Amino acid sequence: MTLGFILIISAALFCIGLFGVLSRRNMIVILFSIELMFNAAHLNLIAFWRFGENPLAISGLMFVLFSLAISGAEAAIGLALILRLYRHYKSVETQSITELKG
Amino acid sequence: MPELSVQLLIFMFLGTVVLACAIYAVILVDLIRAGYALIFSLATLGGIYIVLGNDFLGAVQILLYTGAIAVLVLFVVMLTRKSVDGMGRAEKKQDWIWGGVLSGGLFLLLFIGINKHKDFASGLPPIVPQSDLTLQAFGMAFTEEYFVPLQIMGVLLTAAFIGAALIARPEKKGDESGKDMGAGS
Repeated sequence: MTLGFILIISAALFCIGLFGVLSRRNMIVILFSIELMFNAAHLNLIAFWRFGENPLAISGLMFVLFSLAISGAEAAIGLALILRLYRHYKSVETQSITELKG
Repeated sequence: MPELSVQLLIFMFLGTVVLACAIYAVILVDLIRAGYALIFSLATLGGIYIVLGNDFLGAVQILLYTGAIAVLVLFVVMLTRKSVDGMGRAEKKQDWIWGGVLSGGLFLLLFIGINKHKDFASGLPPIVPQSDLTLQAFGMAFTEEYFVPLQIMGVLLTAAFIGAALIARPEKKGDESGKDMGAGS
């Protein structure tokens, strides 16, 4: 098991998330994809902590823990916004929300 | 070394499950199934954290995603279900092509870059870190070195969840001036 192997899995996870954000039109799936990209970043952080100079330092793990908290807050706010938009527009598709379109 | 190859085998299996479930979560039309696939993928990622030698973060990841985020995601999918059922796909063919080309190109670049870098080919360091990084170490770090960041994170999470509750509350009649304008378009 090498560092490059983990990084390739992380890159694949990130690219799957990017694919979802770019090609899907359902806001809930876009939020899923953002969550996937977040977790690819966390996997990278943990891999570099494990393979880094000092795997006994706790700072790398703290970084991931705080990032996890941020991602939880992001998921809660994003889902609340989607719920609000659904109540307002009766749709969760991105192309139906055009009020600010020029 | 037999232990290392078993570890690699477990790691490859978990990685395959993570990536396959992630692809399912992104391409499925049925949002309930996509949500389950996403949660399964991210909980399996917690297994990868454990294989990498960090039990605590693996447990946190599994608890967070199969507990909190799972409930949140599935409730939102069920609450917005009416607009999704029977609609089929909203995506056109060119959406898939552009998304696939851009994300595939990025993955190709990353793949080549990672393979060319010499430092990334090094094997797993021999020391096993979990002997020192116990829950006690986390507790000490949270009460001493990371006390202020922890408090700030608590304030941020409180603000975020109050904000989420405020955003998600039902609209009152006449509360939104642009309501009739937006609903039809």
